[in-house]
Amino acid sequence: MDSIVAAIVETLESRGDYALLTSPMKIADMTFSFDAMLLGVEKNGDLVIVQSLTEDGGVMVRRRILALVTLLDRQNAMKPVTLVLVVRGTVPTRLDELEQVCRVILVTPSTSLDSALRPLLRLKLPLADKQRLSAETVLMGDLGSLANDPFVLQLISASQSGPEAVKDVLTKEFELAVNPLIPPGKS
Amino acid sequence: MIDRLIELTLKDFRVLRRDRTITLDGDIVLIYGSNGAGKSSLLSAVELAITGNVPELARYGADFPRCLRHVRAEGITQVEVKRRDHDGQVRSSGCDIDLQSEIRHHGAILEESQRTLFSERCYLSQVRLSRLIDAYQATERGGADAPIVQFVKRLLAIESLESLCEALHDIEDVRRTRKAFPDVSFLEDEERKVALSKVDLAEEIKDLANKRKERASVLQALLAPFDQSTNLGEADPQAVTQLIERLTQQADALRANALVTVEQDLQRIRQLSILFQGDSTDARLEGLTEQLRLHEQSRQELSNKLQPTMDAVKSTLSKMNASITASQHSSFAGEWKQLELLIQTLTSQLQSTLDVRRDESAKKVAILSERTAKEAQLKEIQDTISQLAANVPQWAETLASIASVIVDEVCPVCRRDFTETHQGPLRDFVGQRAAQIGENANRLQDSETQRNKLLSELGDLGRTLATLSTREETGPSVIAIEADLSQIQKAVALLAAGNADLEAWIGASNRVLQLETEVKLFQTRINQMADARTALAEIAARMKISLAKGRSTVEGLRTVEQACVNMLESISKRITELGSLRDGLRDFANILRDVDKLDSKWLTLNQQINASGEARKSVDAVISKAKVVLKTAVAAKRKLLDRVFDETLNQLWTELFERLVRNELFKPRLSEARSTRDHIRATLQAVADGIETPFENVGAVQSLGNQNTSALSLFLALNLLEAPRHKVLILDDPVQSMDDVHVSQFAALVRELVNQADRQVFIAVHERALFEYLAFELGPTTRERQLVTIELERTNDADDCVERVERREWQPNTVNLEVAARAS
Repeated sequence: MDSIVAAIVETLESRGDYALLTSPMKIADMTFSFDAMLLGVEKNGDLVIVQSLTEDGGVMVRRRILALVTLLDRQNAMKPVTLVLVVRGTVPTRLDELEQVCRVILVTPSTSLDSALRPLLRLKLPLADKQRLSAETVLMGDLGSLANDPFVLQLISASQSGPEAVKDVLTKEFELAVNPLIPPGKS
Repeated sequence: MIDRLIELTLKDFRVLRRDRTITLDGDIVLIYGSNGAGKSSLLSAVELAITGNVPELARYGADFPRCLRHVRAEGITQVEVKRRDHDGQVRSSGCDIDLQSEIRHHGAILEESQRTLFSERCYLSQVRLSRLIDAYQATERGGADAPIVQFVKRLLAIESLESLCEALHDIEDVRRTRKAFPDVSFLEDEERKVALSKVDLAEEIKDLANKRKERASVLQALLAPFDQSTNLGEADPQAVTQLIERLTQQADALRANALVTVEQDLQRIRQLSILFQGDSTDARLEGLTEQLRLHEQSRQELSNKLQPTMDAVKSTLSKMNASITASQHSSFAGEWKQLELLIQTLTSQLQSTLDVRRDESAKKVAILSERTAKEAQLKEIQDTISQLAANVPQWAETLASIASVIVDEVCPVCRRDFTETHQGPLRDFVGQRAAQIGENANRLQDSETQRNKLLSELGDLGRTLATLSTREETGPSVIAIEADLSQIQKAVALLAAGNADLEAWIGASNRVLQLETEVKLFQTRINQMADARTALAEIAARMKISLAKGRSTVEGLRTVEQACVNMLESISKRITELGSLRDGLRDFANILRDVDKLDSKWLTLNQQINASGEARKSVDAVISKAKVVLKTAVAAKRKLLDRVFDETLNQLWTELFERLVRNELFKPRLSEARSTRDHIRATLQAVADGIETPFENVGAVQSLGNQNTSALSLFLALNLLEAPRHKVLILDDPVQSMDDVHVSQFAALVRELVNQADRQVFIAVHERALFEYLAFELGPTTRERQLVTIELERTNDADDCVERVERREWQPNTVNLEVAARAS
């Protein structure tokens, strides 16, 4: 097995949910042989074909892929097909014809497999320890005992309506504080 | 937390008319519809039913609920979603929008924080996607108004913290606080004012206290003679006022009693002193009495001497029926003078009567003479009249007859020419004769008039004469009158002879009268002096002055007068002192009142100080709390920012971006988002492998399609970043700018989101080919997966849309692929 193909297989097996299929593979009495074929396990039903580009410019590969996809459609297999094409020389023409029927990923010797195979790898989700916190929750938590203060609660409640509402609360509180100093009849 | 949406029921919502229930129970829900067919309406219905709001529409104004109703809806618009939550429970929530466009929630609408999370993190509306793309294309970077910053703020839902930070910013600085909140500035002014007032007032109170003390000391000394009981040092204004009233009463009493009494005594003493001026001995009284006797004697002698004359005259006068009555004279000399006057009157009367008599006699003679002449004249006239009267009628008749026949110069009698015998014309001749006759007639008439006049005059003369004769017969005769006059002349002579004696009598009589008056006065004075001595003794006794015996009354009067003067001065001085004291006390009372006022002011000021102190405490407490809130809000903002915008986000974003984009040099990332005290700062960058410096302007290095992909992948990254999560992703037309390859990548990513992230993904597209491709690509590949496709299409009358819903499930696989046996 080509080293790049081997690396791809290893990557897909270890970091994607794929299992290597036996080769050649027989579907409806038709036999298909590729450098490597992998099938998604569990919820993943994708079929991944890994193939090094031959010297014929990929003509044979294209014919086989088209035949495979057509056969799978006819069998109502519901298996999305991805072709990982290992290219060491010139990039073949007429790839678009293949792209009409399956996802095509080009891998060259200089390609980062991580990047190239990314769509096939398991999605790396962050650890689930990050609890989504609302602004109010954080604020109230950090305020401690002050979070029960009526004035502070008024401020926080007013903050939902914008800064002017907060200023109004503050202004009214100040007004309340200095009101006893204002002679009756003057305001 | 929502795990899965199961079913949507709606009625007359936006462009979707009628009642309809649409299943959403698939891992992937693929919605197709041409523009305006109701894709976004359907997704909005889901959002409204879950959150009770459609924020993207709500930003257009308060009346946005009206836009949620179908334009021809006649009843209540309804939306409801049935869902399965993280706890496995199936819940429903939804909203009714009535004819007044009032929204009423029902069921298990998400709580506030979860609503925002759902809207911001689970639902990528076209508007939200556009906004994200705007963030890429914005030239403004990092500032508070930068779209990415706005996006971050919305994403974090930290508007409330931002509001707190912005509103409380001024609280950190005293000057800004003062400027922003006039009440704080007012309080500071008040504090300054009351502090200054306190200093001034304290000084004023001190000055006034000193003044009070000094004045009290002075007035206490002045008060001592009048009042010993009052202590001015402790007196209040009311006590001082009462004291002033008492002193006023004292002064009034002094003035009304003592002063008036002494003044009266002094006046009395001075009046008495006058009595003792000059000679006032008894010898002087005896001399006067002797003189009086002598003159009385002389007067009597003269009376005796003149009495006979006066009797004779009286006798004479009585004979002429003239006498004086007793009331007409009051003394001998008066009687004498009355007699003289009576004689004078009588003489004048007699003389007058005599003159009348004589005039009347003369007048009678003249009248007699005149009567005689007139009688002769009358006789003569009567003769003439008799003579003329006899001829006149005849002449007149003749002349009248001649005259009527005279025609020319021919005589009517003789028929001769008149001119032959006479000079002049006949008519003139006759005229002259007639004139003569007329003249004679006139003379006759005159004579008759004269005679009548004479007869009248003679009558008058006769009557006058008769009157005169009557008077002559009844009145005194001239002889008798002349005799009386002679008698009176004698009496006059008698009186004239006694006039010298009478003058002497009058002199004596006057002297007697004078002396009598003098004696009376002297006696009165002697009596008064006796009374005066008594009065002097009384006054002296009242004034407690002992008059030495043997000393003269004059000396006693002088002593008492001097004592009165002294007493008067003393009382006046006392009254003056009382006046001054009262004036001083009035000033003192004013000072006390001022002290009270200042005390009151001091009390008020202290109340103000306390009030401003309380206000200061309250204001400081408010500021203190606000500062804590501000500080906490700033920290909370930073904490929230740090939680979301860290390297994990960038890694996830890159991962998702690379799954969607093939062969892209530039990968998006978010610069380290920072929260300064007031602002959040963040910028979008693009990085390339092997290039150390990131590109700050993503829009300039990425294609539009990749910018779309960057935005989409960022949204997905944010959805996947935190837990717990709503396991729902709604993407409204997310592949607008993608080519087929990208769409294929996108489909693979969607499958991955379903498989790896356990998301239920909603995708709306508006191209049929794309829909069909995705329906094929995203079809269920395992038994557990389902795909729901919803095709929306507008009806012909454009009033409604119809939907075709299909739930596709996994079909048994006819293709068996054999997994190779691995060694290990």
